[in-house]
Amino acid sequence: MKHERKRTIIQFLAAAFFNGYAAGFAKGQIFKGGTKILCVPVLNCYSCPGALGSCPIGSLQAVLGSRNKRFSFYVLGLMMLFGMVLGRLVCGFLCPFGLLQDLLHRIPIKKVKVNPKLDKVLRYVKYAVLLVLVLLLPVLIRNDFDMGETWFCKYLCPAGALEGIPLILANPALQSALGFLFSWKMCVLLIVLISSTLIHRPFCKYLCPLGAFYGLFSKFSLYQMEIDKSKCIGCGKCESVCPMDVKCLKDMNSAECIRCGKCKAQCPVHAIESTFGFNLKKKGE
Amino acid sequence: MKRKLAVQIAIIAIAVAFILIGIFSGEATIVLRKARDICLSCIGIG
Ligand code: SF4
Ligand code: SF4
Ligand code: SF4
Repeated sequence: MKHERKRTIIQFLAAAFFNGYAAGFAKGQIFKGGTKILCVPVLNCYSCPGALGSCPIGSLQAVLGSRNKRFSFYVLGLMMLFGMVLGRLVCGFLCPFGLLQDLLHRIPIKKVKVNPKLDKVLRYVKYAVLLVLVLLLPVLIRNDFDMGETWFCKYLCPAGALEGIPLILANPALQSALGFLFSWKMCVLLIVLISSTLIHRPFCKYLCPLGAFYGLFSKFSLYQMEIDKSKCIGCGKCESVCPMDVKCLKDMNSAECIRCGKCKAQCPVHAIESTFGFNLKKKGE
Repeated sequence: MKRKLAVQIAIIAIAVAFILIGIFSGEATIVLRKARDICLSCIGIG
């Protein structure tokens, strides 16, 4: 089976697994079971009717914005563990919002190439989103009850906007409460969806704070990729198929690499390898 | 390579310690409580 087909099947299975509470979609209710004490490794809103676990980015802001809290050991610990073990393999294979962007990009219309200079600057925006909207504002701006808001969820996250739609459709009380904020979030969602048809994974490249966080672990995560320089013939096929425009030949473990494995599948001489575990080998062994 | 291994082990140890500290300081309960209610901010209501 072709690599991309296998990857798509795994992405669908993961999306179904993280959103396995099928009755929620029919009832227009969210799951209230104990598994929600755990964060899932992906950007999957806990307000999705099917969600069985909690979104790490939403949970992080919720704890940071809680009374008497300014730091979240629990959520950051889980995120560090996911980042260290899997890194951005989560993005390439498990995240439902990544899958959605991949599918939209398959729509056969003319694609847009973002100006490289602009692209380079925009890549830093996701780190600003992580730092400002996720980590700082919930801690710094507090109400009279010493509580902060979930800024990223409220003003930017398109996954929450999308996954909330089935809930709103099934729930007249929620429909009557819709206002400006809903329109704003629908606009953000539409922009992300439309741009995903033109550019590969624009949300992952430029805005996602979870991808930014996992990217920090790319050089150290237990899952690593490597190019065997003795086999590589320098044809550049790996770089030409990369959806994230990673310069694989220079930096195979770039923070931007989502570990989709397209480069590995395309390499005519099988020079790209992936490894999992504590790498105890010396380079060149 | 030794340095990389040390960093890997250190980060995993810190992560596990963070998770345990978080559980004992009640953060896991906050996560569960938040996730059991519909998050109105997430879906764009308020
Ligand atoms: S960058 Fe964010 S949205 Fe994209 S696949 Fe990774 S976690 Fe999901
Ligand atoms: S470098 Fe390879 S694995 Fe990483 S995003 Fe590009 S094609 Fe996918
Ligand atoms: S596709 Fe393989 S052989 Fe070609 S440049 Fe990339 S790693 Fe080297």
